Amino acid sequence: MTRGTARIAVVGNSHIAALKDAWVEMAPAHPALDITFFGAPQVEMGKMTLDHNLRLAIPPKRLDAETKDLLTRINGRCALSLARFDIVLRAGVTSPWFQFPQVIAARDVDGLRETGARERLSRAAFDAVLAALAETSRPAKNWRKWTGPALYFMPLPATSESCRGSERKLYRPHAALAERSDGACQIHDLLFDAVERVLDEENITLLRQPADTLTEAALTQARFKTGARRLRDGTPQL
Amino acid sequence: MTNSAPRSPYRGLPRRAFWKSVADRGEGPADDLYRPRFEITRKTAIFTAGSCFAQHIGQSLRRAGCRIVDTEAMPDMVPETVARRFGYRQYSARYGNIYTPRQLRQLLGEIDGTLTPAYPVWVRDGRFFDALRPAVEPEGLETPDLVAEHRRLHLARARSAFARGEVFVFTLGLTEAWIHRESGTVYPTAPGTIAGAHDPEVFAFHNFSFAEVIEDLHAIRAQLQARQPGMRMVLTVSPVALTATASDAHVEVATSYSKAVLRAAAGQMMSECADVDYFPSYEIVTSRAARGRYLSADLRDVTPAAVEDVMQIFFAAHGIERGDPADHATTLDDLDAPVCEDLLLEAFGR
Repeated sequence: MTRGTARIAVVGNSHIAALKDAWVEMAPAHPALDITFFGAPQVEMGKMTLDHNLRLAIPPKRLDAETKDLLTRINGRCALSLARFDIVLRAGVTSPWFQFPQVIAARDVDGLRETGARERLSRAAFDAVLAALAETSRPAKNWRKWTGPALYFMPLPATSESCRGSERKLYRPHAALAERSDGACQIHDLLFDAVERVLDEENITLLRQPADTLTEAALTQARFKTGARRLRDGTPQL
Repeated sequence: MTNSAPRSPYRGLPRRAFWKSVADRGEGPADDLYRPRFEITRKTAIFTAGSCFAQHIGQSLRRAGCRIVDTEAMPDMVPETVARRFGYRQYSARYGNIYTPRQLRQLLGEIDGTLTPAYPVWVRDGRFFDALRPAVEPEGLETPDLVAEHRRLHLARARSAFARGEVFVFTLGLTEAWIHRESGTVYPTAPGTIAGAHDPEVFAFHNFSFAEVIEDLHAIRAQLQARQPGMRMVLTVSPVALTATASDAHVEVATSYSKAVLRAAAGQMMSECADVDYFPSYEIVTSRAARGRYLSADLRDVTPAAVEDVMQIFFAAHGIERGDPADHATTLDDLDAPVCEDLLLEAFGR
């Protein structure tokens, strides 16, 4: 490790595979960055806990041979000590924006959204809903009041605008928002302002999705869609 | 004249007909207190309205997996406390508490376009409130026009709710109300309680009589059946006592009057209309056999256990299975405290 190198840990679910792909391309231009990726499929990631020494791992009692093999194939290890890094980035954190279209797709909001919807939210009701959903971004106990290396949270990106062609019920609110996008970006920003405040209370910095990757409906522009990557097969190796 | 010995008409009646069955029962309501007049299943589309106690009934029906009509729903991921604070998930649309039959009759008239309420917008501290449902926006709105627009959309959703339900569960709460003298518009709260200002020249106290309540209930039934032929009604009377009375009577006497009128009216409706049933939530809670154990510390409201037992009798009578009541106990806490405009009266009574 060279003098002046920043040691960065990128941890998370399958969403970190795309970051790894990007890093492979970008790494030569950033010799001062030493990035370690540590990931697991969502189910296994959900089992991981952080102990007082900042060791991220699935507790031995819950770590079966199959999972151990899977983590080893992906990461070359089953645990990662975050204490030895300068920066930790948690990627693929659940984003309240994924659910938010259910709230606004069929509703207008006083002062924020006018589409002629059949229901209307007052600004006070909207703010209360927004605060409640932002609160869901507060991390699990051992990640709160963080005193370790600089910690960043990067939520899941917004749903791709290509969802408009999907027949899945899950994406209907997103598709409806794409049809009538008035106020969507402003509401998206207000939501992440609230998320930022929640995380700030825990000494965590929010990494927002860049505005120029979003559509007018605050969906991810289709050109950034590379397809889902799964870690379940043990590939790509991180 | 016959030579046989006189035979009392009470002879041979079932045990439930005699008070001794109550005295011998011990604590807890009787299993056969309620015999439904018609079937309600989980698939029955139920819509609800009424006073605060009706919120408990609606929530219990939802939790039991019953099909509750809700045309102003909030997505599931919005927490209960937030949704209910703004009038969501209380009833089948966001009309707030409906304390008197006249208030519901008025709402139905407004939906039909045959009635326009007087003084529909009240003011407090520069904020504007829907006078017909002032608690659904606790902070009020920015302009009177916004209140009107919210109400226009709400009425359309309420119209849809009243056209979808098969069974209407209506909890009768009060006979006392404040009305606009000239038009007769009735309000759920006294002017000056949540918003607005009381002007005795404009607003007056009114205590509805038995005849008025009956007339209103018949009108409600007719209006609802015009939208939804075959619609049936289940009437209940809230066991929650009045917070305050403006009748000049003692509040206990006023409570007794209100509940007696409402209970008698419900009974009268049941005897006159085969599609109207009465569910005795009032009797379950206020039963002498309960020895007051269903009453909360203030002796006015009811305990979660009361709601639990009341609804258990309802579900059992209709053969609606639900989980162990203990599973629900954790949810019958402060989160379930009904949103009651009349509680605000207490603040004014101090």
